[in-house]
Amino acid sequence: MDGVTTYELSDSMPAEVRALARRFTVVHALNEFVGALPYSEWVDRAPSHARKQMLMAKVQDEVGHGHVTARLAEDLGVARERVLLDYVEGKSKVHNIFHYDFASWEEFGPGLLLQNSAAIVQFQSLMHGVYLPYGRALRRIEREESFHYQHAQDMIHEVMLRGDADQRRTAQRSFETWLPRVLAYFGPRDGDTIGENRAWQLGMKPDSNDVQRQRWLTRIIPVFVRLGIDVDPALARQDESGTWTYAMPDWSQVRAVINNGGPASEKRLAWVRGVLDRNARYRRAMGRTA
Amino acid sequence: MSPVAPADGDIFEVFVQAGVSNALTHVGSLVTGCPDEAWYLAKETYCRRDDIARLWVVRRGDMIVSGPEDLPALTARTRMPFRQAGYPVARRRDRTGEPVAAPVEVGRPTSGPPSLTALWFALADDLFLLGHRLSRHVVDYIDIEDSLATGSISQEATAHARRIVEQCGLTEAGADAHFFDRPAHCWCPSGVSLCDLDSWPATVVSGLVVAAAVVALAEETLAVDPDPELVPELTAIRTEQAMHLEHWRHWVAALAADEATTAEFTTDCRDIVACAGDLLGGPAMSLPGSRLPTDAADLASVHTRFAALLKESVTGELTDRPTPRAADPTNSPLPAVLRRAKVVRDRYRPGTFL
Repeated sequence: MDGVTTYELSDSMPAEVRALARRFTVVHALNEFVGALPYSEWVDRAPSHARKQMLMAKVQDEVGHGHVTARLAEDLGVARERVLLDYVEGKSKVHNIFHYDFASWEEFGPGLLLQNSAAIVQFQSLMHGVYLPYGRALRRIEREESFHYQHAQDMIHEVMLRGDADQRRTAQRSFETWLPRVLAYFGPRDGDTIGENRAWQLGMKPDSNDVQRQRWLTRIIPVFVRLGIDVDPALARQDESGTWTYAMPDWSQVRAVINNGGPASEKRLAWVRGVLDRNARYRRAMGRTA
Repeated sequence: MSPVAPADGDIFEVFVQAGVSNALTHVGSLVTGCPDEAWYLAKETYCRRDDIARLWVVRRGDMIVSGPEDLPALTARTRMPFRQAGYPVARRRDRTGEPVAAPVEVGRPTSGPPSLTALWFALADDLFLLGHRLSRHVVDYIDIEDSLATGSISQEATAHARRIVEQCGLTEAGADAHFFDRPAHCWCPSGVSLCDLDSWPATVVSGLVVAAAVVALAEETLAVDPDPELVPELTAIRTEQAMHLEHWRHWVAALAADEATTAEFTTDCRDIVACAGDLLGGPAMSLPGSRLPTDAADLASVHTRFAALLKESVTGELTDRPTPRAADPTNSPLPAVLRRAKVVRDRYRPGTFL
């Protein structure tokens, strides 16, 4: 990162960078904690011992990623309980993709692979940001994400190889359902305002949303093709210059989903409220909270 | 004057970070009687060549470090292969061509006292059910570090369940059939495994009593001179379960001491400990393919070990001797748990690689 000023926790840094580092780590932690919920719902239905173990390990990893980023936030002065409290108090939101459930095991694999690969692309970009503890944390996190990626690929492979026609169709439909959602996960189109984005200007967000979206499509679409999924050119197609055109997400709908208007939004909020209510006394008993 | 080894309080461990993207790395140690000098001396000792981003010095006596005895617990790659990125592909390769397993009866009930093998075989069900039910608590966020610990306990309990039934003669596919395809009425779990785990205190006590039973049985088995090839496996299981036991003990102490939780904890503890007498109660089975010791267990001895471990941790009346497990009890949550576990599995042809 020649020529770019970078920061350790103990360095003096512009208040804006500190505030952004705080926001990035808090938002990241929240999305890991809430993002683990749709996966954890399948652990007790995983169809074999090994699948169960892999899925438990994945859920634990997501919680671990939440832990790493919540610790960074704590070091920046945010009490870890604020991560979940802000969410139930409506002060923070989770990504659009976590407002949905997986309706079946066959839907699960393609959804996982799309989400996972998108997170990898995003983390590989963010790790070059100017707040160094976050960059190092993302390097560790990314290593575990590669296990999730292989796991998700194997789940799809299994359905495409051994599932019946109906199960294969479900996997195909899942790809078509989740692709636009994950395209939206990268955030709004760059437009003319990217240059005014302070996170981008200050080096916390090294790549624009569109750059990451293109990078992701280049990597992941061939993987799905190899797995036997048809990619409708109306959903995503690459021109000769290598640029992808894709079905543009309905941004007003995406905003509504993020504002807790998705099919599973209430369920997620209810789970976190329940966690905070029923466990406060046990945390206190262990001396973990005032 | 004779030479003396430096005192631990004078030894400082040195960590440097070579570039901002790298982790801090341990590079060595130094000795000084003057702690204020330690950082400066570290700079002169270890940082003479490279540009260093950070230099940390920690007094050795202030560090919590592993010893050789901790090594078995630290071999995640071998103990927990399913956490590796290469695992799904390796598993597919290794199992190709493995015969399709139907639910098998590896053993048959016998009369008389149960063998050590039979005790292990029965306890595998409780470990599987504990792992299965604990997994929900990973996202219960009691506290984040605890969620992670619960995640590992859940995975290790599940892994131990499988290793035990494999030692009793089942293949991987056979173990899947054993845990997933066996009808509920063929199970005979401990009463502990059928207790309601909705509350955290009940979860803590259930975890503790199952861990104590496994530790007791592992120690008893290691004491009767088992097949030497089994010793590392049994030792690893014992070590991991002893850590679970220790983890739950911290929670027991906290929940018992706090006035906001003590009443709830005491009730759960009493109810669960009252059921725990059957954890090491069998049933007696003949398991001809087992590598675990098949001679009759000294039930009094193993139960005494178990009771001693519990007595150090929880109050509550444990039975004086092992009690038989109730077959197919009424109002058991087991059929519902097993039905849900099979929702996906049932939609694939038997024998499909899942």
